[in-house]
Amino acid sequence: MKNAQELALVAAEAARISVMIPSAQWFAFGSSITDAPMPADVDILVICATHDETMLIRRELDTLSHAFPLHLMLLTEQEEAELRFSTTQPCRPLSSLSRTIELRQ
Amino acid sequence: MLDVDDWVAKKLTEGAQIESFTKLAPRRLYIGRRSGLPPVVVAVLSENRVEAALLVPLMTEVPQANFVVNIPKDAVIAGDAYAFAAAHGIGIGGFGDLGRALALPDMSTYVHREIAYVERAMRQHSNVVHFERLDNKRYRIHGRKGQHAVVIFLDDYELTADSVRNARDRFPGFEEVVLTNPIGTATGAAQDAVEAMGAKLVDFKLFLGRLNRL
Repeated sequence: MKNAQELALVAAEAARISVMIPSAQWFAFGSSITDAPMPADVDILVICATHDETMLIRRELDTLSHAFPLHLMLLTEQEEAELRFSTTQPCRPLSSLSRTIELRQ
Repeated sequence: MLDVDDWVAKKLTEGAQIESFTKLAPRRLYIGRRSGLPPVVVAVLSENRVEAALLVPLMTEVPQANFVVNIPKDAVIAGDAYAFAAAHGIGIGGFGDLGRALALPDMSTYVHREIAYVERAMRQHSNVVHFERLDNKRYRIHGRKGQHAVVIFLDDYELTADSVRNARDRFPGFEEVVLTNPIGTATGAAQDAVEAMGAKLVDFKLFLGRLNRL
């Protein structure tokens, strides 16, 4: 899997942050999960209940964002209802990717 | 946590963009390029904000860096950093920029294609006298009527409220948000966020038309 190590790090952060924001939904999208040539960015979608939660997630991921190019798309549930991004674009729940990464390690 | 130098070298190797690399020192990579291009030195930064002062120490290092790569996606690269880099024959940008610049004989000539497009449009606009690059996303544009405006260019495919607020936090002070992605859209919340800031959200065509008011 492309960017497996990076996705594992994001998944670990997602697990940590989920204690604070249990309703947040985490997905990987973009070239990490498609057939595109070696991706540079790691594209992560997080759907939250409120704008305050998106701000908290961005703050909590600041350290990780300095280790590799982490592209965050943070939506409220209202914005996701408008865009339907997670259902119309290739997205994979981070939890399902975590299991794949663990099985291969 | 990943070592950022090792990450850069690993990714360039995985992408088959380079033949070899050597770590000269922390945050300095000597890279053997493909296609007969000469080797280059890349300085690796991981800062939220890159200003010229941060680049000055690089000038004392031998051999001098050919490119400075800064890792965080949302980082600010200040206008003085671009000016300093250009004056010293150094390229500067993010990891994607590094990958593209590696294919150029002279990495300092690298310009992101969107920036080249935007700057050419402003240069060719009949009402634009000159423009200043404030940072990697904002320009101050001066018109023939003596007015000026600060605009920020965002290339999001889907502009969200978080994108707008994050842009405001990192790039304070803009009057117009220009969506450069030709198929880009903005959520209602993003539009509200721009309006609440007292700014205007426009697509590129409208941005060019509005330059006539300056």
